[in-house]
Amino acid sequence: MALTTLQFGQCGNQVGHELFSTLAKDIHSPKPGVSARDNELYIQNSVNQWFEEDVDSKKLFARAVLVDTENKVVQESFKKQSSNRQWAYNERTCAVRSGGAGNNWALGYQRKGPELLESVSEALRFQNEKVDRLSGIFSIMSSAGGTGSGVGSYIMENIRDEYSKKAFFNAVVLPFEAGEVVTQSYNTLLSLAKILSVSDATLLLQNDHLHSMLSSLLNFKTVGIGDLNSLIALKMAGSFQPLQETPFSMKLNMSDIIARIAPHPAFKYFCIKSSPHVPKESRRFDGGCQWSVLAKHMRQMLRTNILSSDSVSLDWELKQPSSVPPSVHSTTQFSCSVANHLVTRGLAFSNNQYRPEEDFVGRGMHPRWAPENAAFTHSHQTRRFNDQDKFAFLVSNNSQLHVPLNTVVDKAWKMFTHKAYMYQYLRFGLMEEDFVDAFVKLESVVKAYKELGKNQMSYI
Amino acid sequence: MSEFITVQVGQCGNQIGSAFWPLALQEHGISASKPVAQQQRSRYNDAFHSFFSSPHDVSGASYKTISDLESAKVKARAVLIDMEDSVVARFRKGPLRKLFDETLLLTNYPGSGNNWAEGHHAHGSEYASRIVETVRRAVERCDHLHGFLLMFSVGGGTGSGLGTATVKLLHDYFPDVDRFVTCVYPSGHEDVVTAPYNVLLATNILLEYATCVLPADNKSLLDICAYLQNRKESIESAKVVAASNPYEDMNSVVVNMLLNFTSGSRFPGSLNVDMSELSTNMVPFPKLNFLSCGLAPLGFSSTHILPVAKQVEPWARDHQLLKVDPLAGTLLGATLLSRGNVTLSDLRYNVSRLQNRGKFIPWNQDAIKVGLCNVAPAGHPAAHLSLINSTSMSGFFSHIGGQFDRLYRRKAHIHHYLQVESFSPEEFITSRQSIYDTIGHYQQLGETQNAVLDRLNVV
Ligand SMILES: Nc1nc2c(ncn2[C@@H]2O[C@H](COP(=O)(O)OP(=O)(O)OP(=O)(O)O)[C@@H](O)[C@H]2O)c(=O)[nH]1
Ligand SMILES: Nc1nc2c(ncn2[C@@H]2O[C@H](COP(=O)(O)OP(=O)(O)OP(=O)(O)O)[C@@H](O)[C@H]2O)c(=O)[nH]1
Ligand SMILES: [Mg+2]
Ligand SMILES: [Mg+2]
Repeated sequence: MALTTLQFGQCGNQVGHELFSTLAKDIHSPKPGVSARDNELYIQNSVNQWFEEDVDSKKLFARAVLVDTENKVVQESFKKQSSNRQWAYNERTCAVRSGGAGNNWALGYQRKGPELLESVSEALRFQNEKVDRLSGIFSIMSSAGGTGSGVGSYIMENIRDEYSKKAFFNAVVLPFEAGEVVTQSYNTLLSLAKILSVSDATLLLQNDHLHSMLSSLLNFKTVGIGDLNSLIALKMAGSFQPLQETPFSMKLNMSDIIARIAPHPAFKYFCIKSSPHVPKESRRFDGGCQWSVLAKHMRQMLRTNILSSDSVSLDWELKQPSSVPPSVHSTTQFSCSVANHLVTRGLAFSNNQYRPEEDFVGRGMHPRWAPENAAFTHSHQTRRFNDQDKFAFLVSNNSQLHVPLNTVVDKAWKMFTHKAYMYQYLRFGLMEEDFVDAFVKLESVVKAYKELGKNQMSYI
Repeated sequence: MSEFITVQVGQCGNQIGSAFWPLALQEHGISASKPVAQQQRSRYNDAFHSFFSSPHDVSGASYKTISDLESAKVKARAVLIDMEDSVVARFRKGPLRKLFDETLLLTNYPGSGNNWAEGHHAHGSEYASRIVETVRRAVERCDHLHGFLLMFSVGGGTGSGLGTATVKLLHDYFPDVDRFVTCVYPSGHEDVVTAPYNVLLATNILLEYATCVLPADNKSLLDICAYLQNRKESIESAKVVAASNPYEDMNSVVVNMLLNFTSGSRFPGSLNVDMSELSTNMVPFPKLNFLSCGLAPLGFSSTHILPVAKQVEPWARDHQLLKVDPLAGTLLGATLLSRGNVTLSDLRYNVSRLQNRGKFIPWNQDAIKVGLCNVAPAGHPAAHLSLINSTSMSGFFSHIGGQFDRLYRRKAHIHHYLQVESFSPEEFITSRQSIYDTIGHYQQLGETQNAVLDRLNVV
């Protein structure tokens, strides 16, 4: 099961770099907690999925293509890895220009994308020729700038046909809402609208949310960009590293997961929730939490406030799991999910003691049209992850996802009705209709997600 | 790395330039006078090419002294233009003389007599092709040219007139390269009687043809210098003042701004800002391209290491290079660039402070652009630069208009302008109108209500 990763722009390249570092660290884990044979199998699967292994040196080469319109980030990546003995990028797989895309989706999409297409396609073929069976292409980008959003969506759109039989999915980092790029809402709107038509599924990552996790769960006093990326990489690796076949768990690879999590063309977004995140200093006190407690905690993360579905005051991912049963408020309900996929990693999971489907299936947790056995799946891997005895990830496609999307549409619409910044986009050949089309597309998505499971509420 | 070409026009432009180059070298650990501490040099050699070119593909690390630069034939990416040659002549004699390429210097005698029309029209048409040719020579030495940094005053004749003519030429001949203009406005106490005309005529051209304008006025620069001289840590700089040209310190404030402004394009950082991003973020409508720049710390480059002051507010009124209080108006956009020892959390903290202080335009309450650059300026652990597009800029334009009206009402001195052949008296009127229009646009935005059309209804 081989996957090629496409890293776009500053964010895509920085996140991608961190992802491969996390994967390499996981592969070389000194305390896997499983038999040598199982460990070997896991490593082999993982390497096949993400890397090429150099036969002589045993060094791993990331199966990635690095794309940017500005060379500084990619150069830094190469500089960083010259000291890394575990893995590296292949220098032939870069497609880089200079000058940037000016935080302008139109400049990225209309100009820089076409300029880069040929060299990206070539680099992709170079990577893909070496693998027996390519299963998918995974793109990583931010939505706020010009390169990840504009070049990223242009390239995804234009290579889609060449890889029409493959899983084709991506991760988008959404900007801090309090402003990072003045035109971020336009860029996000335009890129999400384009990507929606070509991607099988899009993982949404919110910088605000990641920042809150680091400061409130992990007690970080100051947060750097690298810290956000470690968390992103952990969530990705935790969800997509190899899984096991057991009587109670399905052996799913990444493209299986994508197909299951986004089974319907109107619902292509997902998020990854994870727990427990324990500050380093209190790690050694952990281990007490049972699988059932952890899984129930993951389920709590699907709760929303029915009085204001946009409320973020109630975010269970910002809490530590607790064996004290959560007090249940009549004002909360479970957010309706198209699909949830639970991944548990670590020691001693046994379905004699606990069956997660009991918690994740039924009672209005899924829309009526979703068959229950497909709407929830559970996969396990006994090998320890991130040097923790237990770690759980919930890959979730649920109604709550309308909240960040709605914010983007709302902010972009305000600017659009005042025609602010429009001339910057029209300058590169975009038209007002293109904006309107994008609004229509995303408004439909927001509406569909918001109304998911409406009229079948069941209060718990 | 991005490359920049400085275009220095007139006395003021070239004097800012003479403050610029030693400080630019200092960022790479090369000093004209005394050796620079090894500190953070050598890691970011690639950035050396942003401002310098060399015939050999040598990285910046191998240069330690001025004579290393000379023997490697390193040249500044600088075009020097003046219609009198005293300042440029000083370059030709100074310690950095070998840094400037003779073929990139353009001088004449005897200046433009503080007459915008003389500079813009007479010299402008006579020198147009030579200016384009000279700039093209500099452009051809670039691989990744991303901006022209123009420096001149708008009170005199050459900078104001020929400088703005150059902006126009660059717009026509190099349309894809951004034009960032740092221009110095007179304090009002100088003896140039025609300054109000020059200022208004030049401002009109800049509104139309510059990508972004980063204005400074001599009154603010003087106040900043006076403030710094009253503080203990600048005794060292105070000595410099006594010894040299009175503008030197004022100019180094401007230079610090320019070095911080370009740092994200030159050096790596975890949240990079390329220069091309600036106009996308800061100019919501054409001709609203004047940005109020604020610096923190204000200090000149000095060998003093100041503690990281977390409380610095670059957007504060007395940190602006212009006598404008950006937060007094409605904010159309703000850019916060931090370099050196600054974390993402510090930056988020500054964003929320600015959001609490400032009143943002209703259609974009989050109109903030942020950047983090890894490399601190020479002599400081960190620095912050804010660029704000505020409707309070209309006060500045009103002042320009008012000063102009006072003279024009009496038609004082206009014969100097009318003498210049290709100058049309209409230009006074259309330029004045353009300033009115800009003020009107700011005022209209300042009154923008939060009324929004309903969002699209989809089925
Ligand atoms: N989580 C995370 N976010 C990042 C990172 N780098 C940039 N971002 C976010 O990405 C957005 C800015 O987009 P960039 O990726 O820098 O832009 P780009 O794709 O390179 O496009 P241009 O620079 O405009 O050409 C902001 O929302 C940043 O917060 C990163 O390493 N991690
Ligand atoms: N900050 C600063 N202002 C200066 C400097 N030199 C001149 N000025 C200001 O610039 C204005 C005069 O313009 P100059 O630059 O001397 O004139 P010029 O562009 O050479 O034009 P002509 O002399 O008319 O040919 C006045 O407002 C001066 O205060 C300087 O080095 N720094
Ligand atoms: Mg970028
Ligand atoms: Mg002069």
